[in-house]
Amino acid sequence: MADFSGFDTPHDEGAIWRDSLRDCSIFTSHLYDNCVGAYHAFDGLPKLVEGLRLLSINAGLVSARAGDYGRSVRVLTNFATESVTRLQQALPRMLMLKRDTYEISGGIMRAINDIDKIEAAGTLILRGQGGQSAALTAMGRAWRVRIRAIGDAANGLRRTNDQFAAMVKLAREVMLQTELIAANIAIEATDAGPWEVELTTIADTIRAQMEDLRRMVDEAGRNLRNATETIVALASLGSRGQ
Amino acid sequence: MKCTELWAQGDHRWLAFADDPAKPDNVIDTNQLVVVGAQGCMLMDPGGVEVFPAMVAAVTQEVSVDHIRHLFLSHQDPDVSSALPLWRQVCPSDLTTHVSWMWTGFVSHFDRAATFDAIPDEGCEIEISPELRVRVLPAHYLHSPGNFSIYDPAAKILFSGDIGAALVPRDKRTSIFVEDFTGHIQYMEAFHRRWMGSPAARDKWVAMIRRLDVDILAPQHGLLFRGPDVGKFLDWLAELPLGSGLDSFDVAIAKLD
Repeated sequence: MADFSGFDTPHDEGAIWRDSLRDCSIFTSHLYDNCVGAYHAFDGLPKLVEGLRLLSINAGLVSARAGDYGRSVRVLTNFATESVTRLQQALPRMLMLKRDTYEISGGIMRAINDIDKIEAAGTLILRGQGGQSAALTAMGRAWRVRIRAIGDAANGLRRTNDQFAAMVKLAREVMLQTELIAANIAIEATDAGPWEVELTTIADTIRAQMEDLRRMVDEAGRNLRNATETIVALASLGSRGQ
Repeated sequence: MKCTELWAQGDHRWLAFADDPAKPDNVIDTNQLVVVGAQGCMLMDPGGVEVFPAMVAAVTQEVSVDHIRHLFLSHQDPDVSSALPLWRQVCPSDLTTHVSWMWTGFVSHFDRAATFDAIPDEGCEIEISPELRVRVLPAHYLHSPGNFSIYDPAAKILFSGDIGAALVPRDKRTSIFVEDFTGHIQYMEAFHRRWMGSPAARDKWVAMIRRLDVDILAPQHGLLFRGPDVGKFLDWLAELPLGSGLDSFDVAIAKLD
């Protein structure tokens, strides 16, 4: 029993092995939901970026046709194009992080499943008769290896989550900047004479897209915060295997 | 999980582990066979992850976990091999896993860190302990295309994997052995008709096994055959129409018209 250090004295043998996993399984389920939720919050991002790209091209064309009326809008359009480019460049990295997160989460789930079976085996061995210290030692060794694997994976998830959080921050910056650009285009539109309607429409469309981006950023941020709490709990569990 | 000693002579023993009362009903019942020698033992078709706890607890009542030096996987199915990573974690680091060369890359999906002793198509011998060697015999296409049986000439026991398998209701299991061969056919007929697809492979396997002296034929599912029932089983299998799934092609083709 000493081989399975880290647990409180149980009321029965079955509880020794199983209680550790109950929390762990719940953590993992939450973690998976939140990681998946964070990434999938941005499922619509490629489409949104492409829409913004086309919109900024359109705004550039309209402002060019508008001549002097569109001078300020042309400058604003350049800023908008830069923002779109920043988001576009982040997409492949985001995809890679998503893949890494799925892989690590899958590893944690496998480890949880293994621990479940190892603990069940240990319970049965403890309840059995005869000298089986070698079996218990082997179970304890395997248990520690898998618990450590969870800790390592939790640290891996912490790293991917940190990187993803930086991307969410970038998306938020782009959103705020683009909202300002849209507001300025709308102001410029009021002085754009015959081009007012077209420029106003462009500003409104950009603002609508930024509303979508805001929803994505908020959703991802919420999931990331929840995931971080779970990762800390899992990392703490993993330290029991040391 | 119940352990039955099938045969013993000194350190050389054959053990069958079966009938786990805690097994969920939706998980197919499996027999785990173990051949033990003086300096090592081999688990044959050690089972899926769901039976691992019961199996490791039961087997370590009989042999030390440090004594488990070999795992043999008759084929690639999950009820045979999905617990591989768990066994590897609790057994000694020099544990050798024997499986058809065909399946090493596939079984690695259960355990990417595992290494294998790849069994060639014609089979081989496995030295379990210096005084104990067993023969690995081809059983391809019955049902898996890369499939093997294990024969121990000293014990006269054949581990046949899925050949001879039966789905016997729990309340009909009064012994680990078949006690009424005719009555047992109902539990294995549909399985063999559907799972076994190659009459040519069946004929070769039956002819090969008839050349051996077999006292016990032990499948991975259901009851074991012993004594005259071994011959009855071979006779029955030799005559059985196989490949019942082929009928579904005609049904599907008729729907295409």
